[in-house]
Amino acid sequence: MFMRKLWTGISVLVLLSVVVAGCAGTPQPAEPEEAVPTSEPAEMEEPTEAEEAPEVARQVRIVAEAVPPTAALEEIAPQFTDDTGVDVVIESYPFEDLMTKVQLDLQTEQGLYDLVSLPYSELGRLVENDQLLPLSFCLDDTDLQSSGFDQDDILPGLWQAASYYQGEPYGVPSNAAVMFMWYRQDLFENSAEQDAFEEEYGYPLAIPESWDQYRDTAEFFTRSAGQTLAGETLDSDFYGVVLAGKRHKAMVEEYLNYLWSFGGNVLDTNGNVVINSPEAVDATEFFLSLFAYAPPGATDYTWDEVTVAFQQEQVALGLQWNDQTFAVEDPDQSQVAGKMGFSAPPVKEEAAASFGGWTWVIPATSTNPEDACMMMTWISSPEAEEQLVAAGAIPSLASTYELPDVASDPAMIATGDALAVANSLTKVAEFSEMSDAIALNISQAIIGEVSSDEAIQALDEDLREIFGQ
Amino acid sequence: MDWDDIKAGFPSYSFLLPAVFVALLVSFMPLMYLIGLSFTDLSFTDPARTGAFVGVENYLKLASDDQFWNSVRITLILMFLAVPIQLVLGLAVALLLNQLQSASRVITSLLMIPMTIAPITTGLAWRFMLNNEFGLLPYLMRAVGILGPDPLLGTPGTALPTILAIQIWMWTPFMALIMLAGLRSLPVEPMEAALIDGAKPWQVLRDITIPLMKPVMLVAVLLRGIDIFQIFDEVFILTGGGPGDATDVLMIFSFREIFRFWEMGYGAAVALTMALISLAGTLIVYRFVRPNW
Repeated sequence: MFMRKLWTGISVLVLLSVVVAGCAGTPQPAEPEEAVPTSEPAEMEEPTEAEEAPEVARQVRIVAEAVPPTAALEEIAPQFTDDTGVDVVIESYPFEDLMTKVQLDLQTEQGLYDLVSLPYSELGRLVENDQLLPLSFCLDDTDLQSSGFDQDDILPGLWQAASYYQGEPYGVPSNAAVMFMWYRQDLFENSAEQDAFEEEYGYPLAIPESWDQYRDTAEFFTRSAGQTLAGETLDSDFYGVVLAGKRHKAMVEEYLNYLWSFGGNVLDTNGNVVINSPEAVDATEFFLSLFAYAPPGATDYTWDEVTVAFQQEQVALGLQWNDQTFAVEDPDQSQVAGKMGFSAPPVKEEAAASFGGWTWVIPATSTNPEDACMMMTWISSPEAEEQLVAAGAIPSLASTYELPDVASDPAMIATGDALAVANSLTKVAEFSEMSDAIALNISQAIIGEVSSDEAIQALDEDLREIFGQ
Repeated sequence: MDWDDIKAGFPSYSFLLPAVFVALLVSFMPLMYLIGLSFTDLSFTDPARTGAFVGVENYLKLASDDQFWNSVRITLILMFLAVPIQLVLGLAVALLLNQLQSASRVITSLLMIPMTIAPITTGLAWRFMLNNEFGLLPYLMRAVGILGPDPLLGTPGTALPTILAIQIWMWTPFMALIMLAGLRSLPVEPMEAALIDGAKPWQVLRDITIPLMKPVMLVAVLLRGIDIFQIFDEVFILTGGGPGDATDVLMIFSFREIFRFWEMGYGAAVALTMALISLAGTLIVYRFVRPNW
């Protein structure tokens, strides 16, 4: 009897604690207005004698993806500390872990992070949940900004695409990632290949400017082992094009290049689902047709395998991210270093390039938004960006693109061209669900389970369910 | 039990309290929270859904979610194929090791290698080895003519069997070790008596060893069954649930709802339903299979 009562008592206590915890409600983010700093930055103030006594170390905690530019930022951050006296702590994680860390911090309001680098796709969801500070407090007050920062220097289109939500800036670009065409320049310049192409297709071999030309070129360069390519006998099969065909974000981002260029879209400017169109079906059909000239394993490829296929001298063409060019131009890890060319994607109805930019943002839970603003603007100053670009970062300032090394770099020239026609998915809160629906349905078309038409219809239904339309 | 009994007994019960407290803290309370969460609409995507009570709405949505049922189907296929194969192979290896008295320690140590590697590392290693163009395994399989040009992980017909094969490679040693421990704990007298009476070795195996091993086999099947029900890392790294939805196991489905879509209420309902299916499977094995053994 006693034991029964004891256990009943414990159970009630546990239930009570759970209920009490539940009644406390889900932590809600602070109102942005409350968190927006109104005081002058501390480093601009002359401390009085009374204030001098307990000196508290100032610190900005940054979290970003574990990529080379983040490592480079860690190296140059001491310069910021020397200039301002503010310590910088940088954490970097793989993408999935990064999002979990950030979400946990925002949801529990711990205020661990003052500055976060996020893909633009996360912006809508976080702003809708009041979890980011609007950047006006920082942009409107030059005292809070690093002295080298000039907001007019940021490429306007890039800034809008990466960091704006519903007309308001929430950050500055942290990575101007955009997809463009990678190709084997040496093959296009080979006179024997030029002659053979013109004989077969009736027009000169050139860097593809249209998708039809792109497919012809992909078909032309697809060769079996034992055949000749640019005067050399092939040891293994060679493919005209490489594609990211795995059910993955990488495939969605590649597919969007075709969709937009063919005149299709996922959502219109009012947020209506418009995927079910002849243009979208044609774009899907075109994407699927390219797999005939791609490595058979492309149905399992993401951006990593696309890069490896180029590095291993296995493909002639492909769409890939600009922030991966260092990997293919490094002779230590690539067999095609010095043989590559880059340009904006070909065009059908419209010029388009899939944008995947990242942005620095200040969480609403930041305990030190003034110094976060100072750090963010310091990173976006020409001096800091020049050092980051040397480590593989993609510039977001117009002045950086004018530097001699950058202006003459083919990958940077192509970046500029691609950014000029870059397109992005609408920054809706349901971005991940939308992206996953595209991945699932297009993947099913790639593996032949459904036709292009059926895939688009199923995608239309899924998107309408996600957006309640 | 009166008060004097309580006082007399209390010191001994008190020793249990730290363990009870830890169990409540790390197991019972999160479970209660999960149950509560599954009846709410909490979403980190939609600011209007702040955790209001919605009754069984999440469970009704789950019942009509085709992707969920596809994930249940794939997970069960994987479980019902992997566990019996691992059981048979594990028993065979254990019987062999039981005969190799001197060499069994070395071989047992070697057998433990696959399961000592973190599943995420295993997934990455297999991903490299299975790369269709540069991987060792497709190269060897093509060299002996048992693989065409299509990728093992990028083709619906071969993606799930490939994951199944990796599971078997990884966890058969676990089965073998459990079986070996079971075999070595069996009394030798019945086997010796049977052999003296003229029984053949396979008759001893069929009529004495395996019946005596059934309790051990039951535990091994339950452990592996529950474990494979939660398979995630290898599938996430190797296929991400694709191609299409050919390998979209339940944990991938659950991960997507919680950590991609941030649907916390719905995700809790998915997790709880998974736990219930797992529990139901365990009870079925205990209630219906064990008595017949």
